[in-house]
Amino acid sequence: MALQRISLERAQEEFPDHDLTEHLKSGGQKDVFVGSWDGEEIVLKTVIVDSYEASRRAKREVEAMKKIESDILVDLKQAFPASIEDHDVFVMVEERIPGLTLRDYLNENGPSIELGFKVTETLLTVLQEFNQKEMVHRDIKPRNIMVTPEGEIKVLDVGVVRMLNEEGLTPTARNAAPGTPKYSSPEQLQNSKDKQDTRTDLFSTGIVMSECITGKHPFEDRGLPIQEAIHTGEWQEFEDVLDSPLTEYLDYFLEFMLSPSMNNRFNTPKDALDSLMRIQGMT
Amino acid sequence: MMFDEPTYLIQFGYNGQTIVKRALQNEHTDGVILSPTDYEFENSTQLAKQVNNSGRTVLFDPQYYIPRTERTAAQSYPYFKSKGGDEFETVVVQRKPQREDLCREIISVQDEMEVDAYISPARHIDALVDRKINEWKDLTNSFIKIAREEGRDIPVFASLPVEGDVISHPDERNEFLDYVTSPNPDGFYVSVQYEMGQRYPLTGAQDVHAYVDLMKSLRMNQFEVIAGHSHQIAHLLFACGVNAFASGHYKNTKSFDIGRWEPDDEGFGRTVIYYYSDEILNDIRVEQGLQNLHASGFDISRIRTPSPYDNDLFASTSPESSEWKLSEASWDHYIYACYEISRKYRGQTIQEKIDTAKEHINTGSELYDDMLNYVNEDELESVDSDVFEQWASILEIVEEEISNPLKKEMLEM
Repeated sequence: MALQRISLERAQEEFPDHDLTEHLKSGGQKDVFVGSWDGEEIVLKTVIVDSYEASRRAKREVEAMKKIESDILVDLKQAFPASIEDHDVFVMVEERIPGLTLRDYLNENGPSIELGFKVTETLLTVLQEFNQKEMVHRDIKPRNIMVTPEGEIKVLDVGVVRMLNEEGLTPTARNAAPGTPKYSSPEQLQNSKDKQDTRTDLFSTGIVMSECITGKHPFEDRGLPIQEAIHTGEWQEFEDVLDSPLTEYLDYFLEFMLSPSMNNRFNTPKDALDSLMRIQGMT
Repeated sequence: MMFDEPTYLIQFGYNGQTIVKRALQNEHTDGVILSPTDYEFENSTQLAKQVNNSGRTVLFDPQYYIPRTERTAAQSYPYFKSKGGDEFETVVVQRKPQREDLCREIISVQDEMEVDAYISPARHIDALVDRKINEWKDLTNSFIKIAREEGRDIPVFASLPVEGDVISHPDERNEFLDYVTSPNPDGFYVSVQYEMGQRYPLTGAQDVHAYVDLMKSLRMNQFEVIAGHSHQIAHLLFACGVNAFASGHYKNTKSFDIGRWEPDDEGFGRTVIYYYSDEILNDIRVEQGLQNLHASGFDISRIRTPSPYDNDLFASTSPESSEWKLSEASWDHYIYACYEISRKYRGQTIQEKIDTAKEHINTGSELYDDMLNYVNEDELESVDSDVFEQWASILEIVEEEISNPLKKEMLEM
């Protein structure tokens, strides 16, 4: 019988060194626990690897986390295989980031231009390293971003990372690439593996930026289902909802992030960051 | 940035060595793009040295897009020889080890010529199909990686030889651009091949728009762009931010043709001679056009683009009585005119460049209209008047786009 979920008790039994105290969440093949290890608070993630694809993906996640040196990405402390009830499980132990996910932070504190600049600048900074190392994160979204009590921005979860110089893991016949459809670019929604590159992450970053500034997903309520609006490029411009001297420039910027055509977006996170800094400098 | 200001490079071709030397001596070029098919390796290396010594730019287009053709000179280049020469097989660029080997050999040739930037090899893209695009991407990515890791610290340009049909439809062009902007070279060296008859100068509203849009999009993606095998459309290219254009001696290499060309021949071995007039942005056929105009009382000097060679082309100011001199000065004149086009756009903002091009097209259009007061349109058959309307409308599109200050900024970078 397939192993569905791993309970807190079971995890405590399997990983006694990690002093697990809470089952934080479950999703897909993953269970996430909170604990402490080596004197530090940690998050322990278990991934049931019941297929070749799942196993490769878990290893790839570890490889990506090891390659990215930036402090913006959550730190991986341990990664090892385990076996629970005769099922192969892959375990990742990460630093625990205190604070709120960007989604919760937005719900509690509301949107602002300052938050938009800060989050976008941070994302573009870490995406430069992803780009240099030929990786595409593919799951930039508010739930994968943390805001610490000190106001620092951190990125979580590289579970569906794509390595451009390695063979893809998603079957080509699949309708959509892994990721979160609401935050996916057209080429990701179409599972066009050959096309996905750093500009795919810029698209998702554009959506996050817009939400941080307006509090609303830019492709929502456009008279079309979100995915259709993403394909046709029907996003909400800032000028409709934002009263700021920077509105016009932010809209120009957003066009270079959210264009359905990849070649009409910024070419690299660095280009986007340079442009963002110039706009920020206008304040 | 490789090019700080609008630049003109001589595209090497038949008899290019002599022409390059004269242009260097007379300071009518910013540099050259050499190629393997016209001169043997040793000769090209020597010429590269002379150009380098003069402080000008040397580039080398490895031209690996011409399979199974007879190019005797190309055989003298190590990478052609070792990869099967004229008979090279596609497999050379499909398998990674061979592909990387080819890139290393091409980089070594370019190093020997002390080029100022590397240009990647590329196969001609004549259809937007996965195999061709992926092959282009693989070869380009391999070349960029090896050049950056093992080559000298100089810019790397990706060669983009493409059929006009591939980019003519907006959706296909968009798709094409999505793919080709994925690798990250410092710049692109673009050669677009069009049907004969449409490219002296380039006409056909859709083709002109497609070509300029392709170049503009590459610039907006922050790549430096060299328009290879180009021509007087350079006015439009500079107006959309293109950094350099390359053109060869007179009609022969003004446009890209992978099958190469034979100099225009009317039959019976009679070569057709054209005079390049930047005043009307066109070539004008000497005997049919120029002489008809002169005979009708039109002041020929109005369409004579001033150049140090202009007087040599006409034995006297009367082409009717003296007839056209079949002089090499026609090539020098053309090259000088190209060089002068680049100078018109130096030190200008993108808006000023657009204004310069607009003004030039308007003046050309008015001049052409006045010419029709003297002769019939049929008698000016060689002049393609479509450019005046078509090119002007393209400039309006570029102007509209730069109302977005970010786009404007990108074209000016």
